Amino acid sequence: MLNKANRKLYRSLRGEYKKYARRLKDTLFDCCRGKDAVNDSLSDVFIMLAEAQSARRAFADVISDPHAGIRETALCFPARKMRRNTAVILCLCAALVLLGGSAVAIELSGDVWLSQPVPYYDAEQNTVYWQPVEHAQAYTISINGSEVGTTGETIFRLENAPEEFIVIQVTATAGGRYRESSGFVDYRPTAPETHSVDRSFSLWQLFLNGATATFSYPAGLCESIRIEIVPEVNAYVKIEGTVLGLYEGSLETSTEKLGQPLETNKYVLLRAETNYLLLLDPQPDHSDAEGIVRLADPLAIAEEGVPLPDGQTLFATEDPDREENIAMTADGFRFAYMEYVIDLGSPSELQWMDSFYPQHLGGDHGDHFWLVDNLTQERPLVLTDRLQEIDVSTERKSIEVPAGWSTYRFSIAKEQFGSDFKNWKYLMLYTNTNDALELRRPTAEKVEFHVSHGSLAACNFIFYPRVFETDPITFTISVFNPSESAARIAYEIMPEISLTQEALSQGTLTLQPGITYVENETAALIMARAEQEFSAHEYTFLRLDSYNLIAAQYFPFEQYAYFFNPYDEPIVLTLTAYVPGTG
Amino acid sequence: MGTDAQLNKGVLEGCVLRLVKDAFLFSSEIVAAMRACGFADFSEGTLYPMLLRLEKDGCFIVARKPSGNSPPKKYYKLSERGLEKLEIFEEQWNDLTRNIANVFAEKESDHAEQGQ
Repeated sequence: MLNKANRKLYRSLRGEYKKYARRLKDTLFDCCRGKDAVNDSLSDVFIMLAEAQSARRAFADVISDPHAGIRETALCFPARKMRRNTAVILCLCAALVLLGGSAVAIELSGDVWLSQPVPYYDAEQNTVYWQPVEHAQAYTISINGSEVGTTGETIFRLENAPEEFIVIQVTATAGGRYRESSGFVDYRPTAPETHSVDRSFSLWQLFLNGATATFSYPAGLCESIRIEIVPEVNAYVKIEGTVLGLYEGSLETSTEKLGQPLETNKYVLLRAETNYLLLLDPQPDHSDAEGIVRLADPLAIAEEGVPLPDGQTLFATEDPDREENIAMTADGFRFAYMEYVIDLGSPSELQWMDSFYPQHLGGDHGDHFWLVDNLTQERPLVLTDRLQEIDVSTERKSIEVPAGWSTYRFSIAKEQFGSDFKNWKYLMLYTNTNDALELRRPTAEKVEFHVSHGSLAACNFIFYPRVFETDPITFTISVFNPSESAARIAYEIMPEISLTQEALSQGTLTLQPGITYVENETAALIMARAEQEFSAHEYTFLRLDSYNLIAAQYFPFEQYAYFFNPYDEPIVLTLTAYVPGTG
Repeated sequence: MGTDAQLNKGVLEGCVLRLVKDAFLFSSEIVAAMRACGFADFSEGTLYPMLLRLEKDGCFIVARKPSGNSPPKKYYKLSERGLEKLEIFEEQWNDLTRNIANVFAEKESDHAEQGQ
């Protein structure tokens, strides 16, 4: 299994890069010994793929021959003791058979590679033949990884006729400076015994790489493919691909005792502590055998009205980057977000909340996993919007936001701007406090603002009223309160003050809490001073918590400035005409 | 895989060994250097199994440098064993090219005689 660092790298890959990485890791873990060595090599490859992907290089430019790359990498590791009919080893052998021919070796050291034997198997004679290899002194014959004999000739008769699929390996050896070389041929009896690829997964392992688990095996190399799923918690999934059926049962259950398959044309419930067996169609002819297990979206399940069992059910949100995400809640349910599917045996790391938001972290974070905990008996998940409509004006107001997620639709009537308004307006949102000292202390439980396409790191939402066709103008913003108790947020349209000569002559300006735009309509350069520290700049603050970087008790400005009062009470600015150089 | 590809494979290994003889290089640096030398089709897909094989053969000194939140990047430089391999490759390559040149020179002189 991938180590933590490799998991992270692997998840960053997309498209052809991810497909190649998946096949490579599956092949290496299935075929090769030495999990740590495999992980070490995979990290090199994943770093290389991630860098190429970041540089937007075409996959074919980086990996021109994926099959050769996987094959040659796998050959660098000692092989695992061959499990019965492991499909991936069969792929490697089939690929090596296709190579054929002899290898021309350029000597790179005192060692010399012998040419590769090309064995042929005569089923009627039960005999293996090969052309002589120059400098070879002996040949070792192995069947399915186990040595069966050695000969100095180029012919070897097998003791027993094979009754199942076999891979015959002929290794030319010479000793001294000559390095051995192997050739392979496989043989499938006309009436093969049943053999299978058997793999078992918990939900954590199944969805380690995302909300969709895909199994892919080349055509014609497996007799049966069985995927066992052992859920730690409940899960609603959708099954797609070349699937024979999904059954209640385990790898220990014989086919005859499997019973009726579950319905998989819609979402199917996997119950905790019940084993399931997914049988894929081996596809003897042309296409690859493929099975897809996809986690359901809680919104889709809620829409269908299917019941959730009591206890925890695992979900993943589809397409979290929707145009408008609304926070939701449900009576008798609680929700916990996971960036990755964690080891569900250690639930203490989870933060439970009574609300759910499809795009919890905002931005492009890939799949979003949720655990939904039904605190009562089995019943449908009924989600209701946690949405509140709020009118916004230049008058500063505040509201209490509950713990977890809430969505607010801020409504701004155009009439408040009159017919002659400045170009840009700002919807200002402030977290629970503007206290100057508090802003200097990192706090773990700061309220966050989110819009559908990312978080609102800035405290302001700039808009241009004329481009909006609707009246009032509305913005839907979701708020995450990470603490367990309610918090308070404030909101307003950024106040704008025109500083006339008359106002300047009064000598003072009262600055309300928050950010205020001040336009200087006098011809003078103005110096603003206060007894307390404040902040000011020619453009709006991107982050309020950067206040402490530029706080001062004075600020000169010429045409306009944005002033930030970080306190909860108004402060008074003293304004004087300022002549540079006079202090 | 045809003979040309097999020949190419041995030659590419020798070139990679030469590139990391004097300095630690990262895989993408090796690819860039090979392409700059005219191996336009040389890619990471060709390189990384080669590096894996040569590393297991003891041809490299490997240094790992931290890389942010990602696993450390591996930088490669020739070890003593790698140096031995490189020296043998250079010797054999020189022999090979000299022999080929001799063959072509001989054939050209045959043609010249026949032309007379």
